[in-house]
Amino acid sequence: MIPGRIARLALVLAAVAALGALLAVFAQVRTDLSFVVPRNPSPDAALLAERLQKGPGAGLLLVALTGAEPDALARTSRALAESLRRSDAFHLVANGEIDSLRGELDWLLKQRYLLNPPVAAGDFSAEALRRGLEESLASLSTSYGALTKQTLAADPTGRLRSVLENWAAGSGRQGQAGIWLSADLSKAFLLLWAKGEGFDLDRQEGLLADIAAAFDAVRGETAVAMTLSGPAVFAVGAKDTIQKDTQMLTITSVVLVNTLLLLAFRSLTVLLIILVPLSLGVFAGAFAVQFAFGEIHGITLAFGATLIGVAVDYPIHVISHGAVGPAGAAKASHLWRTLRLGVLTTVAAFLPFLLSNFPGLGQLGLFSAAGLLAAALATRFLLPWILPEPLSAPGGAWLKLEGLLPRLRHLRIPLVLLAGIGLATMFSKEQGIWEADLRNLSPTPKSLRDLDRDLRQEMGAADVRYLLVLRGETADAVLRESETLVPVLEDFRASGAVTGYDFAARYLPSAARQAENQAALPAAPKLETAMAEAVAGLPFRPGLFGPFVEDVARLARQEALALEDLRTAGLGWRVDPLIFQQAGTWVGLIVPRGVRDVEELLDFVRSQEGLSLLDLKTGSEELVAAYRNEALAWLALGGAVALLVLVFGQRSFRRVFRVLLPVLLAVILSSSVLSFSGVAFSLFHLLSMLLVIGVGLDYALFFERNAEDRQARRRTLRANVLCCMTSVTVFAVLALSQVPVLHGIGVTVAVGAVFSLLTAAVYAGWRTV
Amino acid sequence: MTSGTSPKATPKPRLALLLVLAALTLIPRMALGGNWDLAKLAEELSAAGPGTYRFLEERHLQVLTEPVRLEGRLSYEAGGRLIREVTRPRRERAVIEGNLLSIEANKVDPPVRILLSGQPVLSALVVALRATLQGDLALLQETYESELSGGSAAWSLRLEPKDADLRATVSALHLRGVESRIASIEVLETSGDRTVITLFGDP
Repeated sequence: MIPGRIARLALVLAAVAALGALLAVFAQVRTDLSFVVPRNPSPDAALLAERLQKGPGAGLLLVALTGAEPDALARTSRALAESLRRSDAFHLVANGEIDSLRGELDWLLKQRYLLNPPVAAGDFSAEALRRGLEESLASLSTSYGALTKQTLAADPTGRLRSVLENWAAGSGRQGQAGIWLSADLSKAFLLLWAKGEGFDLDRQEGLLADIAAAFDAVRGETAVAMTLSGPAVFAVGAKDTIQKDTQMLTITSVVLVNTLLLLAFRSLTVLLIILVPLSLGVFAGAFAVQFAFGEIHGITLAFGATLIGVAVDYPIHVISHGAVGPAGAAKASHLWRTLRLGVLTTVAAFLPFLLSNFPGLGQLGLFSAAGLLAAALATRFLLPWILPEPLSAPGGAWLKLEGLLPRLRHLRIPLVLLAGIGLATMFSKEQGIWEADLRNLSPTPKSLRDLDRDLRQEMGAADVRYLLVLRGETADAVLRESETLVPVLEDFRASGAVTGYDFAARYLPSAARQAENQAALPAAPKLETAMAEAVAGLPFRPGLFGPFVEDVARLARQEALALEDLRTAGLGWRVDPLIFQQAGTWVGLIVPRGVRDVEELLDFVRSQEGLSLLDLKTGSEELVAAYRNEALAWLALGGAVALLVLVFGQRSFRRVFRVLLPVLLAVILSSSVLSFSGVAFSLFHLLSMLLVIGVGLDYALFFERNAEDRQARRRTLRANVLCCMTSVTVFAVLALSQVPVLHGIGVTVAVGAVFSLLTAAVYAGWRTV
Repeated sequence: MTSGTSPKATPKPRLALLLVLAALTLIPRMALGGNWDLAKLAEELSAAGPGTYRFLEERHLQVLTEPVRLEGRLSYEAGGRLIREVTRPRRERAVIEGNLLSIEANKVDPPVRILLSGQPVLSALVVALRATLQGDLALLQETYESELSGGSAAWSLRLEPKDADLRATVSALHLRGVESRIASIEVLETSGDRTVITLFGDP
């Protein structure tokens, strides 16, 4: 019989391994913010999600070079910039040098009178021209007169400089012509804007690798070091963290749990047998999600792997109770009834999540339900097929432990009181018990986020928070609308309500504005006369400014510029984040900087029809809150369904109460302890509570149903204690994770499991017959 | 043993001897005039060490009918740092350290930082200045084809860039000096523009 059994075990294990391999091949894993984006959002929510993913920040990479003399830093900066420009993977590689804009400068020079700042007829009076000429003459005597020299003939009044200054005012980095160095000269900065959009993790990883390679090539023998930051870095960092964590956690928990079980059961075979329903559970969950959603989010996978800690209870109970062989048939079916109730109740609590508007919640619900169900079914049907002889009855230490059970009754009242106090403390907490910051749910390591914040501050590339949103039928309509708002925006800037603002029409004036500019340009003869007067007495070569007169004449006749023209000139990256199409309408964004008081902005927005204010920070917080509230609602529904199942299974309200009380108390007690120690609850803590309930329910049910028979009680005690220890081990290891979400789950369930065992033992552990 | 000398016979040989002696002393000097070369000049210049000079700069530009005139002070420090302060017509302070040029127009705005390697004319000038003031013969010969004429008392050094890219903008530099002091630097650009900087000893 024995070889047969080993063969069966080997067969089953091989099948499990094959399933795992299949999963690894077919699973599409994502690790981004898509987890928290609802399926059918309102237009503003959709815009919010889109801006978070694709907005001005999305393709941006901040580069800092450190570790050498300013000279070496500057040289490396230029070499790196040139190398990256050649790679053609970027819209923009800015290291501060004007040269970096060479191609674009030519276009800007060519179109300068159609662009902002607005042209006034008075700009071409003899006096105005003379002032411009004198200014140009003076700049020829400076150290960088070379640029003026080149454009002098076509642009004697320095119009190009005004255009460039207007462009620079948009980003707030006051036209610092020259290599970007930090104030203390210890860092050189580059700003990169990667092409492509959306979250393609492989592409982002490739991009970072390319930048690193380019840097190595130009670094040479110097000691210059490079630091990168930006959304791509976060995404890759998050993925790395999640991967490393998942690996570390899986290995550690497996090792620890195996050791525990080996010590308890003293059999390697048993260990392997326990593995079977566990792995089947995880794989079933993963396959279910992949099939239903087409992809699995990394967080779902990580959360699902923690199901191991819960699902391990099933085989432990079966093995501990020795429900095998013909002698154990009766025991087996009794066991199975209890187990079945526990599983069904937990699964019932998870299922409503599938109806959620948030795909992330749906994935978690499906994974848990499918996984636990599969683990239970495998325990029921597969385990007997491969189980060896039943285990001996527990003795020794277990006997002593069993003796404690009656004494635990004295804790019944104190625990209820403690729970009451805990509840009161939680709800009297000032800032509430909930986690509001979306970023704390992000799997990006905090060190990366801190680095990004510091870099942005130094570079003056602060995070955008408020957006004024305009909508219109055509791009030009949106541009014109935004231009009408300029006077008010300028007032805001003058009064200090904002330090600056950016909008698409700054870079591409509306067709109407361009026509106004053109109308202000003088006819050639008039211009020539004015120039002759202006030049008189200045040492310019006669006939030098012919190109200037020609340019003005040409620009007066030219067709208006459109978005396409900017894009062809390679300047699309400036306007694309500020004006785009969304669901058929054109959306224009006005991005204010340094907002002093958002109320002023709000008042202004309310007074304008068709203008709305988007607050990226509270917007995302509201998204988190909505997510959580939905989860709470589904939880309540799930709880009700679970309760029904429980009542149906226990067949008596009294019995239900005996099982429910310890579970509820455990939840309250563990929440209070966590809240007291400073934990802010997020959605994932809520979901973890479901796991705690599931685990606690198992303990309570098993205790309750086996409380009469001494032997059975001992076996139950052994099983429950082992289950608790394995659960606590697995989740304590999870609590070591750097990913905030996983850490939260680990802490919650570890604490919850301990309390669950305690309360289950107190209220359901012992009963006089 | 001679049987007596006639006074008429001695002047000629003595004169000849004097002439020969004079010639002998002169010849070495003339030979030394050939031995006084770039290396020697570099040595003398570097021996002069760091200093501050007043300068007058004239930029002859194709676009203008008159040259632009600048006045200021130029300091050369040990270690190769150059500081140029323009006092007229517009105040400006430029510090050149290594490959980095930092320009301050006034105390308010932050300095503009430019890589020298992006400014061919300026770069050529700085290399020439540094190489000569530091006596860095190797650098000079690496960057330029040099032609030295004149002597220690008044010399003229013509430099032509070796690098093709640089040659596209700068056709030649002319340094003129007296002994261990550079008196003037002239930069000739291929565009026809010309810059002449005259240096005066006392700031």
